[in-house]
Amino acid sequence: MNQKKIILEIKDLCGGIEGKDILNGVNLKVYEGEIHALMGRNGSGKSTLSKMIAGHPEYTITSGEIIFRNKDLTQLDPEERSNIGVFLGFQYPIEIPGVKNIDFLRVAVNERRKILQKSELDTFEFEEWIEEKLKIVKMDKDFLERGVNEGFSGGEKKRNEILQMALLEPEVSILDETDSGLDIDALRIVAAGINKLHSNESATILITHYQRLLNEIKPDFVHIMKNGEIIKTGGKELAIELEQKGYETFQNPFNESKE
Amino acid sequence: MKKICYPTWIDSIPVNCGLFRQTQILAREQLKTNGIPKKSFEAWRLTNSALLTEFLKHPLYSNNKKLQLKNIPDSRKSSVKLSFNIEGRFEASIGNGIERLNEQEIKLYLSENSTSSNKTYDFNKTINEASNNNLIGFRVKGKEKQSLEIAILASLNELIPTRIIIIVEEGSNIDILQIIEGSNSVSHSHIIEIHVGDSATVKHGIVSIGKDSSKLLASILVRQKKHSNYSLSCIQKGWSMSRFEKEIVQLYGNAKTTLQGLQIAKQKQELATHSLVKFNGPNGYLEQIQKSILDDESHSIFQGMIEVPKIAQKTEASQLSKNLLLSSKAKVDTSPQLKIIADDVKCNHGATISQLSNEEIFYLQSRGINTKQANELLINAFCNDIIKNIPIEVNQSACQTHLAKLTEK
Amino acid sequence: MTKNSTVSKVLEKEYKYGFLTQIESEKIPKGINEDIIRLISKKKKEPEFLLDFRLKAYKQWKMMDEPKWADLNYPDIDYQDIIYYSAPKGIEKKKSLDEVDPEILETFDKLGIPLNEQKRLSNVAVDAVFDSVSIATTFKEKLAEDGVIFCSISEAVEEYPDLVKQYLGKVVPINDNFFAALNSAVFSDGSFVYIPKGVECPMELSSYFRINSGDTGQFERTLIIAEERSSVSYLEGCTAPMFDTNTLHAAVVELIALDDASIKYSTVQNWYAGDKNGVGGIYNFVTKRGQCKGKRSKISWSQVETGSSITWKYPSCILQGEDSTGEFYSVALTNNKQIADTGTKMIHIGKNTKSTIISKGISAGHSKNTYRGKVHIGSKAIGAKNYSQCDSLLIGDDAEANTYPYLHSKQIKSNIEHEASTSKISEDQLFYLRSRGISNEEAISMMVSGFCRDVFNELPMEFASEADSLLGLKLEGTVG
Repeated sequence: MNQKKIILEIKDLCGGIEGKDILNGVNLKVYEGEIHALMGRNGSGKSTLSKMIAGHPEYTITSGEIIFRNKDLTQLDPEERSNIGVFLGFQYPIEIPGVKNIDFLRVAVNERRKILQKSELDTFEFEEWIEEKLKIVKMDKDFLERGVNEGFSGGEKKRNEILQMALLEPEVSILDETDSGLDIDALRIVAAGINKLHSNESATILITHYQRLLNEIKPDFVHIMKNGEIIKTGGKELAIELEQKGYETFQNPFNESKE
Repeated sequence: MKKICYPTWIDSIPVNCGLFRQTQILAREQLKTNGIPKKSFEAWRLTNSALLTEFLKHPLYSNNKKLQLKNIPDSRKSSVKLSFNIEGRFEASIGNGIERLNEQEIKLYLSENSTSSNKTYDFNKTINEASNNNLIGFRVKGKEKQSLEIAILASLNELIPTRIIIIVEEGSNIDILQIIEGSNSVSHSHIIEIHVGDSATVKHGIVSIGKDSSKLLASILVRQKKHSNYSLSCIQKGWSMSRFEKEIVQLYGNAKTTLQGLQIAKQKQELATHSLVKFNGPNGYLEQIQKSILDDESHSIFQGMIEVPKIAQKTEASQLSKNLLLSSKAKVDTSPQLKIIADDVKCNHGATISQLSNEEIFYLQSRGINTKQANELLINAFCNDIIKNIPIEVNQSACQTHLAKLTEK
Repeated sequence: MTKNSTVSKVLEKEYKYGFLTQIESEKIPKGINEDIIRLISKKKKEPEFLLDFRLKAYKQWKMMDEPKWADLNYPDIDYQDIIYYSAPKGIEKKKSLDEVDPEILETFDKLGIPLNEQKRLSNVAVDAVFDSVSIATTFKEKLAEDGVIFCSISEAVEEYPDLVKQYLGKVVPINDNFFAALNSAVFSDGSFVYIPKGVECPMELSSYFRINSGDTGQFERTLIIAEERSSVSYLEGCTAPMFDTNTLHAAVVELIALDDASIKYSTVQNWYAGDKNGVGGIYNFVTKRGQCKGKRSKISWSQVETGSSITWKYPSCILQGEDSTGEFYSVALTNNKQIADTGTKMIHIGKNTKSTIISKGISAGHSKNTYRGKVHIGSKAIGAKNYSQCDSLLIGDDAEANTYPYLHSKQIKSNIEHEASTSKISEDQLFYLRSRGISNEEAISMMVSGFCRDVFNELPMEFASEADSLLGLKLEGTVG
């Protein structure tokens, strides 16, 4: 058996937004082929962690490291992180009226392909290629002609996120509450998409509140976040325990901080 | 040869020897030079100047210096009523937390806010200063919520200049209710200036109702300091001509302004609102809505300017003008305007001119309501979100009487 | 701070049309008076009626005052210091393209408007105007097969004097405004289009205006007549060399659409805008107006305004015929010290007339970008409808965006709806695009393009991509 390689390592990560500390030393190691679930209440720091990995300019890292494939991410621009294979599925994908979805996707894909040393796709090649990917999330071609997320329903936005993940073929995907706001059918579609895209060379981090996503996607590890720290790690049984007992059980004495 | 405008009338204005002598002299000179504002001024382009000239034809009421104070029955403890009585006097009753400004304070105020500093010709201010021999000032203090009612009711064939200053000190809170009425051929020239101190709150309501050929020129000048909150609901109905000029300045930004207006016009009435909101600092907030309902051959005018200079980053401002035409001979002019230099702002404005929606009328009819009732229901609904913000708590019985007049045909 | 500088880098693109063609020109003396007007008229061998038209306009103009707009300052224009007619030498005898000075042909080549048979665009007929005169009109014969007349206005005066006499100055009267009166007095050339009854013009028509000399004003005149049930799409482009003095451009465009006719008029305006400090550039004071004279007629203006140091331009529609439609789609981008004051007038006269206004202003640097528009619904315009949307995008905190709509209605059975917004590029949108691997610069380009999409969609295919790259945005495939 081959030695599994580490993809993402977070070391003692601290920091926050607008001078407020939210993360108080997060540690996490993610190996190839793994699925991690990150759970915790609102304000526990889950989304902050995901924004910091993706490099949101408003979040400041005060100390700690984010290592991706032996490379420190913290000094890279958001687009550079994406180009080398880090993907964030947004909790609230923003609408960008006027910018056509298909144009946006094609530019994004070609930037990624440059890094992968693949040839750029022209308009026609891209349209052919994307048709396959649309099937994964059961999206209609019409969505490509609309503005980025413009007028999309909650479910459509989330499917558009998974479509982007399918197109960009990232090595590590952080999916921030991809399950929230989805009805049961949409949840299945999204979950099936994520399962299909998961491979032995990539890793997935699911941020979620609920067990129900984890019924569809089986995590290898479940982490509970609280006050900007991972306070407990376990297998999928931890998520079930959490569902039954609630977060209160995992209370620790520090004050709640807001995201 | 320089033309002198309206010399006979201007010279007939009684001269005052006291506090206002200097401003009067200046204002009369200005009036003689400029007369009625020219159509070439953008702000006066749409105004019927024939109606304006009538302001300079009326006799003036005799001087008054005497002031009486009264309590308002059936209202909160600290309420003041300032009313303009038949002899042309103001009467006011002073409660706790509201003080009259003395002559010295008024003098200081005037010197700091003199007409000569104005770049453009302010017609209302000029005739007011030229003819007015009185100015009433209040200071509002303390944390307790105060009430002030100002009633100016007149039915004589006169020019009636009135001017009020209200200084609301830091952290104070006041409801101001103004009732302005006119009948016959009364011409009002009214100015109210409100200084809203840090963290102070002012809820201001104006119900102005004219009859016959009465006219009204009104200026509302508001200066807001940080974290203050000023809201105005202003209703105009029935004047042969009325024109409200509203100028609100957020001196340091960081304040909240709400402006609401309603113009109900019929016959050949011309009702106008000209507003300017200026943000002289960051984080300002404005919500403005101006509505008009027009019947017969009436004319409604709205010009609203929002100025967001460079210093006013993170301003949020919205402005909406909604106009309802009920007659095929009525006309509307509306011009919501934005002037923006700061880049980190959210501003929007909108305007609609339309008639009552056939679909809405049909819906009501299908529920057994006749056309007339349906029309009334929809018109009332159109007016209600403005009327509901009049601070009726100040004087409920007076409010009810006056608001009832709004729905009169 | 870093963000702003990237944005300006995106917007700042060298003006690549700024070269000067070295050519001998024949110029008349500076200044304007009756003799000059007679001289222009004589040079152009004009019939009597046109000379009268010019002289009448000149008399009116002398009595008019130059408009002084609120909050706009520019140094006074000395109208006696302008040359009102300048033509490349020997132009009069030109009969075919072979006789045109190769320097000029090369100039148009460089501008991307090749005129000779081998290279010219196959589906666009071009009228090329160099300073005061039309150099060549392509595809004239082919168009004539369908009865379409497309030529310079000078030629039209000679060949079709009755048509010119019937329509010239009818939509924009000679005393309409100061600059229209000046144009009527001294206009030198421009394009003339006549589409006969029932003809759908088989190709795009296009005029390309090039100002070459620095001391010459350009006063072109365009007249387009669409007879019943005809349709035409017309494009207009313009560039000028870089001079450090200001050059005056005061054009008049008149459109007439009869019953069921439709005219689409598109402009990509890229006159020299002056340098970073606002030195030099074109004063672009233009009167454009279309008359929907016939029932169910339609006039549509689309414009992309990126050049000129000052632009005043309000392409308007007089909606006279019942059920006629007016449209105005505009993108105006200003940078450095440019001023653009542009918008439209929609005058609803006939029953059930409809108008749509979409205006997108982008202001960067120290520029000032104003939308000024008027919607007028007259007392007979039963069922009239207007919808306006005016959005501004501010880039940098020294740029100014103003929105001045004037709405007027005298008709109960009508609807006017106006919406406007002002905003900047949102950080969150920017981050979203960047997190998908798109560079900051490209993300901004994409968003500016996206902001203008509604208008770009209205441009003819040939111009849409040019417009996009004009905005300094390299993104391909966003449009069309």
